[in-house]
Amino acid sequence: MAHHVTNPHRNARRFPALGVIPAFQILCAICVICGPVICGPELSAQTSPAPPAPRGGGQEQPVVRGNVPGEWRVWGADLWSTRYSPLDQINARNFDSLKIAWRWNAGAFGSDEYYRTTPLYANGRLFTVATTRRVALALDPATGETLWMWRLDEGIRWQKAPRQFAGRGLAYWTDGRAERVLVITPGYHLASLDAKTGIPDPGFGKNGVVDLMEGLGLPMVPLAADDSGPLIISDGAPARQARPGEAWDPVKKLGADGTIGIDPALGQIANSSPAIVVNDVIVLGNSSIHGYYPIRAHNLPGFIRGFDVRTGKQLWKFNLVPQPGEFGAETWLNGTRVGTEGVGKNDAWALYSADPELGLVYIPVGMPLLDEYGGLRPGNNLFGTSLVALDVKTGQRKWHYQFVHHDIWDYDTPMAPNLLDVSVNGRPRKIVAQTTKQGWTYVLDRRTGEAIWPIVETPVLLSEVPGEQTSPTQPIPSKPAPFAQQGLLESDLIDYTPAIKDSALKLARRCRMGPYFIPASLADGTGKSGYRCSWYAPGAGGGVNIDGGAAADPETGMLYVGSISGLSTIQVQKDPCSEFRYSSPHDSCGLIGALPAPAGYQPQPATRGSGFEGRASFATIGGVSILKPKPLGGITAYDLNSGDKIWWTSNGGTIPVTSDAPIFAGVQLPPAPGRGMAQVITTKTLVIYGTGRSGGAPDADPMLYAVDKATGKQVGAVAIPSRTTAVPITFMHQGKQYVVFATGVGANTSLVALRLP
Amino acid sequence: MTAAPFRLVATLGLLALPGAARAQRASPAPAPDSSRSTRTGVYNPAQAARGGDIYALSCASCHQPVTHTGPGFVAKWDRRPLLDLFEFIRATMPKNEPGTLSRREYIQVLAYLLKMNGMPAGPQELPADSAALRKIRIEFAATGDPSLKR
Repeated sequence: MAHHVTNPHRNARRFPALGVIPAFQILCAICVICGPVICGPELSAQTSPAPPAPRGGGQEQPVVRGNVPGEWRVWGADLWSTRYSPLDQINARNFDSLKIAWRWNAGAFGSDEYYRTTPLYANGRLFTVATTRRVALALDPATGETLWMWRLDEGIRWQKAPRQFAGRGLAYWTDGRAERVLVITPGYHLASLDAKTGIPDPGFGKNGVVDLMEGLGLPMVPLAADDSGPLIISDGAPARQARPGEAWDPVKKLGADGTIGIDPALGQIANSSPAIVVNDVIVLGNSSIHGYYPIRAHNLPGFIRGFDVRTGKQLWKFNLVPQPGEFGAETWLNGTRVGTEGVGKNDAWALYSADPELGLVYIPVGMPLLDEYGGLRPGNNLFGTSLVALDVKTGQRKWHYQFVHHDIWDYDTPMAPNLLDVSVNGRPRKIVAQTTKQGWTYVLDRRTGEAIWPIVETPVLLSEVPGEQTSPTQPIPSKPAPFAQQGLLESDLIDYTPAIKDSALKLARRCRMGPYFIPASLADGTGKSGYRCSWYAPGAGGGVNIDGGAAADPETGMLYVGSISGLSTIQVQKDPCSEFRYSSPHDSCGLIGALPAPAGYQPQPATRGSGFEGRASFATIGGVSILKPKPLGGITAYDLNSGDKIWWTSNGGTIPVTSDAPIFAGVQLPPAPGRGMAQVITTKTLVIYGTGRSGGAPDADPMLYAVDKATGKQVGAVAIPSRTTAVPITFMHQGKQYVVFATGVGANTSLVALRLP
Repeated sequence: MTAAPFRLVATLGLLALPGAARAQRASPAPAPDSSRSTRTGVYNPAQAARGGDIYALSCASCHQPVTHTGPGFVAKWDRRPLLDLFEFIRATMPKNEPGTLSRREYIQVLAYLLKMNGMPAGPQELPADSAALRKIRIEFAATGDPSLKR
């Protein structure tokens, strides 16, 4: 028996009113989900003999940057997040002859959103997570056979989880003898599983599980739910504290089920990225509910914690919203106490990187609450939208760098930074390169946080929104050049004929223009300049975002950035049933957890029940973007010895542009540079990439591509069953190099493995 | 509600005058009477299925489905020409890269939105050209349809 279900938080001792939930009931849940009818072959695999003996078995293997070369032991291949493999069996000569070795059906274990997981390969096994329950599994890399699975029944903590999907992956650790797989569940538990068997390590936490909601100094209460759905995209429909004696309706999934969790009145907490293990310390953080258009003007902040990898004991905690007396608290002029108005988020929801020799872990931090309005949190809001370097043994801040002061653009730092050793002007430098949603790569000395090339505090436009005090300057890198569109200037507009130029300019001038960091305008046009919208480029999705990001070549110092580039608009107005004075146009009235509608409330058809599209303004004429096509988005290669851009390629092809609008009659329209976020890795000679869930040329078959990493020239392409939905991995197993990636959505999720015939 | 008379007109809408197709779009004014309703099977299941895939991969990470089925959506788009919704989506979505789907892909997403709203499928594909889309009128179910409640 290799799957195990425990729930240490649903016991009589901690919530006496409900009595003990018998263990068999919890086990039963998994029997239903993973009975032979549904799981079929996968279930039978659980009782299979052990896989081929992993190589190693206690034998010393060379570990480089936390990875054995040819394996993929960390989400980003190694602790430096290089996504680099020295393998070369798959190369330009044979890439096109790659064949599918196996396809593993993740959907057999349950449904998911899109399958955003990057698996790991370590010591002869493949590890992954899958489904909205974030089941952890081990697979035979040669056949795709399931070796073991594990999942946790988390009751309401799962039902109301803000990140109810498989997540980005898991972590692996070994001391050469013991091997552990570490998974953070949707309900915010940390489990340490024996990598050979999937059995939770009895010496870790309580029966192999640490409740991550504990140890934060926040009140834990019995939870209840008023509806059976998940917590929705804003903070509507949350769980609440249970009333004494409140019962559970297992059919309707309402009431109190015995689950204990952080008091929902304080906000929500979750996780979607794996931990990173550095020098035997597990480092992890959390994500909060999205800040798109929340109802509550407070939420839980981000925390980073270190845990002993052997025992699960919490070693330290670092507050990403500094508490009174801590460094950075003075950058919140209205204070930072948890649960107070304006305080929340700064959550580090992305992947992390580390330098085990320096003993530093690099934490890319998201933005404070809420996305487009910061009127309740005047100040620069450390450590929002920053990179923070922490001592992995103590959790002490070594340095930090804030990329966006007082972020009101949703420019969360979205991806693990890439570490490289390069030579700048003849001087060896240990660098960390952070690619970002705002389209810039910030290159810093990773020992000190100093900029490698000057990053200049530059005056920017000020907000006209009442209560909003934007920063007068933002740090703009002098090098490298950006990989995504920056704001909107007249020179960015299409000008193929005078009439086209006039039309584009007329459209552009309807919204506030500027070179970068353009603050949102008031949707009702009552701001000083009268604009009803502002141009937004890069938008909230990047630039780089969690789907894309960069691969780094430790042999050459090259950086390969997968990103998008586009142009949209942004505006804010009052949501009548939210505590916030402004948000992006939205009407929360009627949602569970929303404020009562104010007197005289009239539903606004343009925004009621709607989302981002509420008042968006057109950025196209007759289907043609007003933005000139430029070599942005796609994949951009930089030499980080010089900071220069070396090459650019589209993400699987450019987009033909045609229009039947009369204004374009007789004009040969150049193609658009492409779309979607390329998911890149790099090997000895290649950059290999999938187009991501929304990338590739329109109507084209899904492909996996290879380009020459020196030139960007395409050297191979193979058809795949469906688009990649996460960054692939590559590894050598029993003499064969594999490329494995996640794909699919809903119940049609799978891992696909390619190898040469 | 006047759904029934509109349905009768819908059949006649197939015989719409060619000149009407070239008329300037007058959104958000109601579509001309020569239009047919989205309740008459204006898209086919294969289109909606492909649109569902695109929706899941390009739309769902920002939008809850209620965004596209709730009362706000109904209030905004009911009785308007389908062309208005098509042009709106094409010009503004995906939020970070507006205009980057092909016309065919936008049409597939549009078919899926109709399916999400309980509009029936039919044997014919939803047409991609603007003139034909202008002659299709968005029409939600009668008030009280439980699918319209959030």
